[in-house]
Amino acid sequence: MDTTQLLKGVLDLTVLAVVESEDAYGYDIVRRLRDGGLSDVGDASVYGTLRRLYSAGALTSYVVPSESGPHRKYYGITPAGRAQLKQQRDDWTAFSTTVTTILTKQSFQGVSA
Amino acid sequence: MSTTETSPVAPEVRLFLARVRHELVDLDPDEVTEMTDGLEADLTELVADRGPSALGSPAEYAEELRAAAGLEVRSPGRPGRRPVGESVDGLLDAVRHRADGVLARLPRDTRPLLTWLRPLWWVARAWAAIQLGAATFSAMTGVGYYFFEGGRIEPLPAMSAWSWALLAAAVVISVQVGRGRLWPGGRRGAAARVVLLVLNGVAIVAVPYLVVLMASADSGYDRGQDIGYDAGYHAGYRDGQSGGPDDQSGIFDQAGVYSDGHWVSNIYAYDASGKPLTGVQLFDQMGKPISVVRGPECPDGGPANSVVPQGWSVVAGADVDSTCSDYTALESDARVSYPWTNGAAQVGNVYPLATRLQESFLPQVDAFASSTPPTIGPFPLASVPPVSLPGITPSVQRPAATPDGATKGR
Repeated sequence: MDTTQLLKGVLDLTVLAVVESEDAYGYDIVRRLRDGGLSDVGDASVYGTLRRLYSAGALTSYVVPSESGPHRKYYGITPAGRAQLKQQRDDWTAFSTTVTTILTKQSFQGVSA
Repeated sequence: MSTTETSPVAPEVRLFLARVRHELVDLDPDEVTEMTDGLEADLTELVADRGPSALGSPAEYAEELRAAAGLEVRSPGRPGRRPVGESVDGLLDAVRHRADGVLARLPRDTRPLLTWLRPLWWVARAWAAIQLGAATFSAMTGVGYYFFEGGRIEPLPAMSAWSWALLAAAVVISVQVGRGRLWPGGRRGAAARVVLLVLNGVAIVAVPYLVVLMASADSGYDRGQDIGYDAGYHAGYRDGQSGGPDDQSGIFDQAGVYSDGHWVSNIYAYDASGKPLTGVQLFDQMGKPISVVRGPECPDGGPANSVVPQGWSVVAGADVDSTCSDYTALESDARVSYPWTNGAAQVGNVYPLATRLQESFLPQVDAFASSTPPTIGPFPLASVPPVSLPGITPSVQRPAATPDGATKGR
Protein backbone atom coordinates (compact mmCIF):
# COMPACT_ATOMS: atom_id res chain seq x y z
CA MET A 1 0.00 0.00 0.00
CA ASP A 2 1.19 3.47 -0.86
CA THR A 3 1.78 5.22 2.44
CA THR A 4 2.43 8.65 0.86
CA GLN A 5 -1.22 9.67 1.10
CA LEU A 6 -1.44 8.48 4.70
CA LEU A 7 1.73 10.43 5.57
CA LYS A 8 0.22 13.66 4.32
CA GLY A 9 -2.55 13.41 6.84
CA VAL A 10 -0.30 12.84 9.82
CA LEU A 11 2.71 14.96 8.96
CA ASP A 12 1.55 17.98 11.01
CA LEU A 13 0.87 15.76 13.97
CA THR A 14 4.15 13.87 13.86
CA VAL A 15 6.26 16.99 13.28
CA LEU A 16 4.63 18.71 16.26
CA ALA A 17 5.17 15.59 18.37
CA VAL A 18 8.88 15.51 17.49
CA VAL A 19 9.50 19.11 18.60
CA GLU A 20 7.17 18.88 21.60
CA SER A 21 9.88 18.00 24.10
CA GLU A 22 12.93 19.52 22.44
CA ASP A 23 13.65 22.19 19.82
CA ALA A 24 15.19 20.82 16.64
CA TYR A 25 16.43 21.90 13.23
CA GLY A 26 14.84 20.68 10.00
CA TYR A 27 17.12 17.82 9.12
CA ASP A 28 17.13 16.64 12.73
CA ILE A 29 13.32 16.43 12.58
CA VAL A 30 13.50 14.48 9.30
CA ARG A 31 15.94 12.06 10.87
CA ARG A 32 13.83 11.53 13.98
CA LEU A 33 10.75 10.84 11.85
CA ARG A 34 12.73 8.34 9.78
CA ASP A 35 14.24 6.73 12.84
CA GLY A 36 10.74 6.52 14.28
CA GLY A 37 9.70 4.38 11.31
CA LEU A 38 8.39 6.86 8.76
CA SER A 39 11.16 5.95 6.34
CA ASP A 40 9.31 7.30 3.29
CA VAL A 41 8.95 10.84 4.59
CA GLY A 42 10.26 13.39 2.10
CA ASP A 43 12.70 16.05 3.28
CA ALA A 44 10.93 18.78 1.35
CA SER A 45 7.55 17.73 2.77
CA VAL A 46 8.90 18.20 6.27
CA TYR A 47 10.39 21.62 5.46
CA GLY A 48 7.16 22.71 3.79
CA THR A 49 5.18 21.50 6.81
CA LEU A 50 7.51 23.35 9.16
CA ARG A 51 7.00 26.54 7.17
CA ARG A 52 3.22 26.12 7.20
CA LEU A 53 3.08 25.35 10.93
CA TYR A 54 5.30 28.36 11.55
CA SER A 55 2.99 30.60 9.50
CA ALA A 56 0.02 29.25 11.44
CA GLY A 57 1.69 30.16 14.73
CA ALA A 58 2.17 26.58 15.95
CA LEU A 59 5.97 26.86 15.80
CA THR A 60 8.59 29.45 16.57
CA SER A 61 11.93 29.54 14.83
CA TYR A 62 15.34 30.98 15.57
CA VAL A 63 18.71 30.90 13.92
CA VAL A 64 21.81 29.45 15.55
CA PRO A 65 24.98 30.73 13.94
CA SER A 66 27.91 28.46 13.30
CA GLU A 67 31.55 29.45 13.24
CA SER A 68 32.55 26.89 10.67
CA GLY A 69 29.65 26.94 8.23
CA PRO A 70 26.14 28.18 7.46
CA HIS A 71 23.68 28.86 10.26
CA ARG A 72 21.05 26.39 11.45
CA LYS A 73 17.39 27.20 11.76
CA TYR A 74 15.77 25.70 14.83
CA TYR A 75 12.08 25.21 15.47
CA GLY A 76 10.29 25.10 18.81
CA ILE A 77 6.66 24.53 19.71
CA THR A 78 4.36 27.36 20.82
CA PRO A 79 1.40 27.12 23.24
CA ALA A 80 -0.86 27.20 20.18
CA GLY A 81 1.19 24.36 18.75
CA ARG A 82 0.78 22.35 21.95
CA ALA A 83 -2.98 22.88 21.83
CA GLN A 84 -3.02 21.80 18.20
CA LEU A 85 -0.91 18.75 19.00
CA LYS A 86 -3.21 17.73 21.86
CA GLN A 87 -6.28 18.15 19.68
CA GLN A 88 -4.78 16.24 16.74
CA ARG A 89 -3.40 13.53 18.99
CA ASP A 90 -6.85 12.92 20.41
CA ASP A 91 -8.36 12.98 16.94
CA TRP A 92 -5.78 10.55 15.68
CA THR A 93 -6.22 8.17 18.56
CA ALA A 94 -9.97 8.14 18.08
CA PHE A 95 -9.64 7.84 14.31
CA SER A 96 -7.03 5.08 14.35
CA THR A 97 -8.96 3.15 16.98
CA THR A 98 -12.04 3.33 14.80
CA VAL A 99 -10.13 2.23 11.72
CA THR A 100 -8.42 -0.56 13.62
CA THR A 101 -11.73 -1.75 15.00
CA ILE A 102 -13.28 -1.84 11.54
CA LEU A 103 -10.28 -3.62 10.11
CA THR A 104 -10.27 -6.18 12.93
CA LYS A 105 -14.00 -6.92 12.48
CA GLN A 106 -13.57 -7.26 8.74
CA SER A 107 -10.69 -9.67 9.13
CA PHE A 108 -12.62 -11.62 11.81
CA GLN A 109 -15.63 -11.89 9.52
CA GLY A 110 -13.36 -12.81 6.65
CA VAL A 111 -11.87 -15.63 8.64
CA SER A 112 -15.28 -16.86 9.88
CA ALA A 113 -16.85 -16.77 6.45
CA MET B 1 19.22 21.40 22.24
CA SER B 2 22.25 20.54 20.20
CA THR B 3 24.50 23.25 18.82
CA THR B 4 26.83 21.14 16.75
CA GLU B 5 29.03 23.13 14.44
CA THR B 6 28.03 22.94 10.78
CA SER B 7 30.38 22.22 7.91
CA PRO B 8 31.03 24.63 5.04
CA VAL B 9 28.42 24.42 2.30
CA ALA B 10 29.27 21.91 -0.40
CA PRO B 11 29.14 23.23 -4.00
CA GLU B 12 26.50 20.69 -5.03
CA VAL B 13 24.28 21.92 -2.19
CA ARG B 14 24.71 25.51 -3.33
CA LEU B 15 23.79 24.60 -6.88
CA PHE B 16 20.86 22.47 -5.76
CA LEU B 17 19.47 25.26 -3.57
CA ALA B 18 19.98 27.86 -6.29
CA ARG B 19 17.87 25.70 -8.60
CA VAL B 20 15.23 25.06 -5.96
CA ARG B 21 14.96 28.79 -5.28
CA HIS B 22 14.75 29.41 -8.97
CA GLU B 23 11.83 26.99 -9.18
CA LEU B 24 10.07 29.10 -6.58
CA VAL B 25 10.60 32.48 -8.27
CA ASP B 26 6.87 33.00 -8.69
CA LEU B 27 6.48 33.17 -4.90
CA ASP B 28 7.04 36.19 -2.71
CA PRO B 29 10.84 36.50 -2.31
CA ASP B 30 10.48 36.85 1.46
CA GLU B 31 8.44 33.65 1.56
CA VAL B 32 11.12 31.82 -0.43
CA THR B 33 13.84 33.17 1.85
CA GLU B 34 11.95 32.06 4.96
CA MET B 35 11.18 28.65 3.56
CA THR B 36 14.70 27.85 2.39
CA ASP B 37 16.56 29.57 5.21
CA GLY B 38 18.88 27.18 7.01
CA LEU B 39 18.71 24.59 4.23
CA GLU B 40 22.39 25.08 3.42
CA ALA B 41 23.36 23.58 6.76
CA ASP B 42 20.67 20.90 6.68
CA LEU B 43 21.34 19.73 3.12
CA THR B 44 25.07 19.67 3.77
CA GLU B 45 24.35 17.29 6.62
CA LEU B 46 22.05 15.27 4.39
CA VAL B 47 24.78 14.92 1.76
CA ALA B 48 27.25 13.92 4.47
CA ASP B 49 24.77 11.26 5.65
CA ARG B 50 23.49 9.84 2.40
CA GLY B 51 25.68 11.23 -0.40
CA PRO B 52 24.96 13.87 -3.07
CA SER B 53 22.42 11.63 -4.85
CA ALA B 54 20.08 12.04 -1.86
CA LEU B 55 19.41 15.60 -3.03
CA GLY B 56 17.39 14.39 -6.01
CA SER B 57 15.65 16.66 -8.47
CA PRO B 58 15.45 20.36 -7.59
CA ALA B 59 12.13 20.69 -9.43
CA GLU B 60 10.52 17.82 -7.51
CA TYR B 61 11.98 19.09 -4.26
CA ALA B 62 10.52 22.54 -4.95
CA GLU B 63 7.12 21.06 -5.81
CA GLU B 64 7.08 18.97 -2.64
CA LEU B 65 8.10 21.97 -0.58
CA ARG B 66 5.41 24.07 -2.20
CA ALA B 67 2.72 21.43 -1.72
CA ALA B 68 3.61 20.73 1.92
CA ALA B 69 3.73 24.44 2.72
CA GLY B 70 0.30 24.84 1.13
CA LEU B 71 1.49 27.29 -1.52
CA GLU B 72 0.01 27.18 -4.98
CA VAL B 73 1.67 28.01 -8.27
CA ARG B 74 0.58 31.58 -8.91
CA SER B 75 0.98 32.03 -12.65
CA PRO B 76 1.86 28.82 -14.47
CA GLY B 77 2.54 30.41 -17.86
CA ARG B 78 4.82 33.24 -16.78
CA PRO B 79 7.27 34.41 -19.44
CA GLY B 80 10.43 33.72 -17.43
CA ARG B 81 9.86 29.98 -17.77
CA ARG B 82 10.25 29.67 -21.52
CA PRO B 83 12.71 26.98 -22.65
CA VAL B 84 15.23 29.55 -23.97
CA GLY B 85 15.12 31.45 -20.71
CA GLU B 86 15.52 28.24 -18.78
CA SER B 87 18.53 27.06 -20.73
CA VAL B 88 20.17 30.49 -20.38
CA ASP B 89 19.38 30.38 -16.69
CA GLY B 90 20.86 26.92 -16.46
CA LEU B 91 24.02 28.08 -18.21
CA LEU B 92 24.38 31.09 -15.91
CA ASP B 93 23.71 28.89 -12.90
CA ALA B 94 26.43 26.49 -14.01
CA VAL B 95 28.93 29.33 -14.50
CA ARG B 96 27.98 30.75 -11.15
CA HIS B 97 28.36 27.34 -9.57
CA ARG B 98 31.81 26.94 -11.08
CA ALA B 99 32.85 30.40 -9.88
CA ASP B 100 31.57 29.56 -6.40
CA GLY B 101 33.67 26.41 -6.53
CA VAL B 102 36.78 28.43 -7.38
CA LEU B 103 36.05 30.90 -4.59
CA ALA B 104 35.48 28.07 -2.14
CA ARG B 105 38.98 26.77 -2.82
CA LEU B 106 40.59 30.14 -2.01
CA PRO B 107 42.30 30.48 1.34
CA ARG B 108 39.94 31.50 4.11
CA ASP B 109 41.67 34.78 4.92
CA THR B 110 41.08 36.14 1.40
CA ARG B 111 37.29 36.04 1.90
CA PRO B 112 37.07 39.38 3.78
CA LEU B 113 39.04 40.96 0.93
CA LEU B 114 36.55 39.63 -1.61
CA THR B 115 33.66 40.84 0.51
CA TRP B 116 35.32 44.24 0.46
CA LEU B 117 35.90 44.24 -3.27
CA ARG B 118 32.23 43.80 -4.05
CA PRO B 119 31.00 47.24 -2.89
CA LEU B 120 34.19 48.77 -4.28
CA TRP B 121 33.27 47.33 -7.65
CA TRP B 122 29.72 48.68 -7.38
CA VAL B 123 31.15 52.19 -6.90
CA ALA B 124 33.70 51.75 -9.69
CA ARG B 125 31.11 50.69 -12.25
CA ALA B 126 28.88 53.62 -11.30
CA TRP B 127 31.80 55.95 -11.88
CA ALA B 128 32.53 54.30 -15.25
CA ALA B 129 28.88 54.69 -16.23
CA ILE B 130 29.02 58.42 -15.51
CA GLN B 131 32.25 58.83 -17.47
CA LEU B 132 30.96 56.89 -20.45
CA GLY B 133 27.65 58.70 -20.30
CA ALA B 134 29.35 62.08 -20.30
CA ALA B 135 31.67 61.06 -23.12
CA THR B 136 28.76 59.81 -25.22
CA PHE B 137 26.81 62.97 -24.49
CA SER B 138 29.80 65.05 -25.52
CA ALA B 139 30.44 63.05 -28.67
CA MET B 140 26.81 63.39 -29.73
CA THR B 141 26.32 67.05 -28.93
CA GLY B 142 29.88 68.35 -29.18
CA VAL B 143 29.60 70.35 -26.01
CA GLY B 144 31.14 70.43 -22.64
CA TYR B 145 33.45 67.55 -22.18
CA TYR B 146 36.99 67.15 -23.44
CA PHE B 147 37.15 63.40 -23.16
CA PHE B 148 38.00 62.94 -26.83
CA GLU B 149 39.75 66.26 -27.32
CA GLY B 150 43.03 65.71 -25.62
CA GLY B 151 42.68 62.08 -24.57
CA ARG B 152 42.54 63.58 -21.12
CA ILE B 153 40.15 62.54 -18.44
CA GLU B 154 39.20 64.12 -15.16
CA PRO B 155 38.09 62.14 -12.10
CA LEU B 156 34.68 63.56 -12.90
CA PRO B 157 33.26 65.07 -16.07
CA ALA B 158 33.49 68.84 -16.05
CA MET B 159 29.98 69.48 -14.88
CA SER B 160 30.91 70.41 -11.31
CA ALA B 161 28.04 70.07 -8.83
CA TRP B 162 25.84 68.19 -11.26
CA SER B 163 28.43 65.53 -11.86
CA TRP B 164 28.73 64.85 -8.14
CA ALA B 165 24.97 64.53 -7.86
CA LEU B 166 24.90 62.23 -10.89
CA LEU B 167 27.72 60.13 -9.49
CA ALA B 168 25.97 59.85 -6.13
CA ALA B 169 22.76 58.73 -7.86
CA ALA B 170 24.66 56.23 -10.01
CA VAL B 171 26.43 54.79 -6.97
CA VAL B 172 23.14 54.35 -5.12
CA ILE B 173 21.57 52.62 -8.12
CA SER B 174 24.61 50.42 -8.69
CA VAL B 175 24.82 49.36 -5.04
CA GLN B 176 21.10 48.62 -4.87
CA VAL B 177 21.31 46.55 -8.05
CA GLY B 178 24.33 44.77 -6.62
CA ARG B 179 22.45 43.96 -3.42
CA GLY B 180 19.48 42.74 -5.44
CA ARG B 181 17.27 45.43 -3.95
CA LEU B 182 16.61 47.19 -7.24
CA TRP B 183 16.23 46.00 -10.81
CA PRO B 184 16.25 43.15 -11.62
CA GLY B 185 15.70 42.39 -7.95
CA GLY B 186 15.33 39.05 -6.23
CA ARG B 187 13.48 37.31 -9.03
CA ARG B 188 15.93 37.68 -11.84
CA GLY B 189 14.62 36.56 -15.20
CA ALA B 190 17.03 35.21 -17.78
CA ALA B 191 16.86 38.40 -19.88
CA ALA B 192 17.62 40.64 -16.92
CA ARG B 193 20.52 38.45 -15.92
CA VAL B 194 22.00 38.64 -19.42
CA VAL B 195 21.58 42.43 -19.55
CA LEU B 196 23.26 42.74 -16.18
CA LEU B 197 26.05 40.45 -17.35
CA VAL B 198 26.64 42.55 -20.48
CA LEU B 199 26.61 45.81 -18.50
CA ASN B 200 29.09 44.38 -16.02
CA GLY B 201 31.23 43.16 -18.93
CA VAL B 202 31.31 46.66 -20.39
CA ALA B 203 32.23 48.06 -16.98
CA ILE B 204 35.01 45.48 -16.54
CA VAL B 205 36.61 46.76 -19.76
CA ALA B 206 35.80 50.42 -19.17
CA VAL B 207 37.02 50.81 -15.59
CA PRO B 208 40.70 49.91 -16.19
CA TYR B 209 40.66 51.86 -19.46
CA LEU B 210 39.32 54.99 -17.79
CA VAL B 211 41.70 54.64 -14.86
CA VAL B 212 44.67 54.35 -17.23
CA LEU B 213 43.45 57.41 -19.16
CA MET B 214 43.17 59.36 -15.94
CA ALA B 215 46.55 58.20 -14.65
CA SER B 216 48.28 59.13 -17.89
CA ALA B 217 46.68 62.56 -17.72
CA ASP B 218 48.21 63.10 -14.30
CA SER B 219 51.70 61.92 -15.22
CA GLY B 220 51.60 63.92 -18.43
CA TYR B 221 52.25 67.07 -16.49
CA ASP B 222 55.53 65.64 -15.27
CA ARG B 223 56.61 64.15 -18.53
CA GLY B 224 59.52 66.50 -19.04
CA GLN B 225 61.03 65.82 -15.67
CA ASP B 226 62.39 62.36 -16.37
CA ILE B 227 63.87 63.36 -19.68
CA GLY B 228 66.39 65.85 -18.38
CA TYR B 229 67.20 69.30 -19.59
CA ASP B 230 68.76 68.62 -23.00
CA ALA B 231 66.40 65.87 -24.05
CA GLY B 232 63.42 67.88 -22.92
CA TYR B 233 64.77 70.93 -24.62
CA HIS B 234 65.27 69.16 -27.90
CA ALA B 235 62.01 67.32 -27.65
CA GLY B 236 60.35 70.64 -27.19
CA TYR B 237 62.32 71.99 -30.08
CA ARG B 238 61.38 69.14 -32.36
CA ASP B 239 57.79 69.43 -31.34
CA GLY B 240 57.99 73.11 -32.01
CA GLN B 241 59.46 72.41 -35.40
CA SER B 242 56.97 69.98 -36.77
CA GLY B 243 53.39 71.08 -36.23
CA GLY B 244 50.52 69.42 -38.02
CA PRO B 245 48.85 66.06 -37.79
CA ASP B 246 51.99 64.30 -36.52
CA ASP B 247 51.55 66.14 -33.30
CA GLN B 248 48.24 64.52 -32.57
CA SER B 249 50.03 61.59 -31.03
CA GLY B 250 52.15 63.92 -28.92
CA ILE B 251 49.12 65.75 -27.76
CA PHE B 252 47.34 62.55 -26.93
CA ASP B 253 50.31 61.66 -24.72
CA GLN B 254 49.67 64.83 -22.75
CA ALA B 255 52.79 66.51 -24.09
CA GLY B 256 53.04 70.27 -23.87
CA VAL B 257 51.32 72.66 -21.53
CA TYR B 258 47.83 72.48 -20.09
CA SER B 259 45.93 75.08 -18.19
CA ASP B 260 42.80 74.15 -16.29
CA GLY B 261 42.44 71.07 -18.42
CA HIS B 262 42.78 72.88 -21.71
CA TRP B 263 45.63 72.45 -24.13
CA VAL B 264 47.78 75.60 -24.36
CA SER B 265 48.94 76.38 -27.89
CA ASN B 266 50.60 79.72 -27.17
CA ILE B 267 51.47 81.90 -24.19
CA TYR B 268 50.93 85.64 -23.95
CA ALA B 269 52.75 87.38 -21.12
CA TYR B 270 51.99 90.74 -19.51
CA ASP B 271 54.17 92.72 -17.17
CA ALA B 272 53.21 93.96 -13.74
CA SER B 273 51.76 97.17 -15.17
CA GLY B 274 49.46 95.08 -17.35
CA LYS B 275 51.18 95.73 -20.68
CA PRO B 276 51.81 92.93 -23.22
CA LEU B 277 55.31 91.45 -23.39
CA THR B 278 56.89 90.06 -26.54
CA GLY B 279 59.86 87.70 -26.48
CA VAL B 280 59.51 86.24 -22.99
CA GLN B 281 61.65 83.15 -22.27
CA LEU B 282 59.95 80.74 -19.91
CA PHE B 283 61.55 78.09 -17.69
CA ASP B 284 60.02 75.84 -15.07
CA GLN B 285 61.18 75.35 -11.45
CA MET B 286 63.82 72.86 -12.63
CA GLY B 287 65.30 75.34 -15.07
CA LYS B 288 63.88 73.46 -18.02
CA PRO B 289 62.45 75.43 -20.94
CA ILE B 290 58.66 75.42 -21.07
CA SER B 291 57.65 74.55 -24.59
CA VAL B 292 54.13 74.30 -25.86
CA VAL B 293 53.63 71.55 -28.35
CA ARG B 294 52.25 72.68 -31.62
CA GLY B 295 49.39 70.61 -32.89
CA PRO B 296 46.14 70.76 -34.72
CA GLU B 297 44.46 74.01 -34.01
CA CYS B 298 41.62 76.04 -35.40
CA PRO B 299 42.93 77.82 -38.47
CA ASP B 300 40.97 80.88 -37.55
CA GLY B 301 39.70 80.85 -34.01
CA GLY B 302 37.01 83.45 -33.68
CA PRO B 303 36.02 85.29 -30.53
CA ALA B 304 33.18 82.85 -29.99
CA ASN B 305 32.59 81.40 -26.52
CA SER B 306 35.10 83.81 -25.08
CA VAL B 307 35.09 84.26 -21.36
CA VAL B 308 36.70 87.55 -20.35
CA PRO B 309 36.90 88.69 -16.74
CA GLN B 310 35.05 91.88 -16.06
CA GLY B 311 37.03 95.08 -16.57
CA TRP B 312 39.49 93.49 -18.98
CA SER B 313 39.78 94.73 -22.49
CA VAL B 314 39.71 92.47 -25.51
CA VAL B 315 41.44 92.98 -28.81
CA ALA B 316 38.95 92.56 -31.62
CA GLY B 317 39.14 89.11 -33.16
CA ALA B 318 41.22 87.67 -30.36
CA ASP B 319 40.65 84.06 -29.41
CA VAL B 320 40.59 84.02 -25.64
CA ASP B 321 39.04 80.68 -24.77
CA SER B 322 37.12 79.36 -27.68
CA THR B 323 36.77 75.77 -28.69
CA CYS B 324 37.19 74.92 -32.31
CA SER B 325 34.85 72.28 -33.65
CA ASP B 326 35.76 72.40 -37.32
CA TYR B 327 38.85 70.21 -37.35
CA THR B 328 38.31 69.31 -40.98
CA ALA B 329 39.70 72.71 -41.86
CA LEU B 330 43.09 71.24 -41.10
CA GLU B 331 42.94 69.30 -44.31
CA SER B 332 43.35 72.47 -46.31
CA ASP B 333 45.62 74.61 -44.14
CA ALA B 334 47.79 74.01 -41.11
CA ARG B 335 48.98 76.49 -38.52
CA VAL B 336 52.73 75.92 -38.34
CA SER B 337 54.91 77.43 -35.66
CA TYR B 338 58.22 79.24 -36.17
CA PRO B 339 60.21 79.27 -32.92
CA TRP B 340 62.42 82.14 -31.91
CA THR B 341 66.17 81.79 -32.44
CA ASN B 342 69.25 82.66 -30.40
CA GLY B 343 71.40 83.00 -33.50
CA ALA B 344 72.80 79.47 -33.40
CA ALA B 345 69.66 77.38 -32.83
CA GLN B 346 65.93 77.71 -32.53
CA VAL B 347 64.56 78.18 -29.03
CA GLY B 348 61.13 76.70 -28.36
CA ASN B 349 60.33 78.44 -25.09
CA VAL B 350 60.09 82.06 -26.23
CA TYR B 351 56.64 83.59 -26.28
CA PRO B 352 54.42 84.47 -27.91
CA LEU B 353 55.26 81.79 -30.44
CA ALA B 354 55.04 82.98 -34.03
CA THR B 355 52.83 80.94 -36.35
CA ARG B 356 51.32 81.13 -39.78
CA LEU B 357 48.75 79.26 -41.84
CA GLN B 358 50.23 77.34 -44.72
CA GLU B 359 49.58 74.33 -46.89
CA SER B 360 52.66 72.38 -45.83
CA PHE B 361 52.92 70.88 -42.38
CA LEU B 362 56.64 71.71 -42.29
CA PRO B 363 58.18 75.15 -41.61
CA GLN B 364 59.31 76.92 -44.80
CA VAL B 365 62.78 78.46 -45.07
CA ASP B 366 61.53 81.56 -46.82
CA ALA B 367 58.50 82.04 -44.58
CA PHE B 368 59.59 85.35 -43.08
CA ALA B 369 60.35 86.77 -46.53
CA SER B 370 56.97 85.77 -47.93
CA SER B 371 53.90 87.94 -48.27
CA THR B 372 52.35 86.21 -45.26
CA PRO B 373 55.14 86.00 -42.66
CA PRO B 374 54.59 84.21 -39.34
CA THR B 375 53.11 86.44 -36.65
CA ILE B 376 52.70 86.15 -32.93
CA GLY B 377 49.04 86.90 -33.49
CA PRO B 378 47.03 89.50 -31.65
CA PHE B 379 47.34 89.49 -27.87
CA PRO B 380 44.11 88.02 -26.49
CA LEU B 381 43.78 90.99 -24.14
CA ALA B 382 45.02 94.48 -25.03
CA SER B 383 46.02 95.01 -21.42
CA VAL B 384 45.30 93.51 -18.02
CA PRO B 385 44.96 95.18 -14.61
CA PRO B 386 48.26 96.11 -12.95
CA VAL B 387 49.45 93.85 -10.17
CA SER B 388 51.77 94.26 -7.21
CA LEU B 389 53.14 92.39 -4.21
CA PRO B 390 54.64 94.15 -1.17
CA GLY B 391 58.43 94.00 -1.13
CA ILE B 392 58.67 92.62 -4.68
CA THR B 393 59.93 94.95 -7.38
CA PRO B 394 58.45 94.11 -10.77
CA SER B 395 60.54 94.12 -13.97
CA VAL B 396 60.41 97.32 -15.91
CA GLN B 397 58.84 97.02 -19.32
CA ARG B 398 61.17 97.50 -22.23
CA PRO B 399 59.96 100.31 -24.48
CA ALA B 400 60.67 98.22 -27.62
CA ALA B 401 57.71 95.88 -27.17
CA THR B 402 54.61 96.66 -29.20
CA PRO B 403 51.12 95.54 -28.32
CA ASP B 404 50.36 93.66 -31.53
CA GLY B 405 53.94 92.41 -31.96
CA ALA B 406 53.54 91.65 -35.65
CA THR B 407 56.78 90.38 -37.23
CA LYS B 408 58.71 91.55 -34.18
CA GLY B 409 59.57 87.99 -33.33
CA ARG B 410 62.55 87.98 -35.62
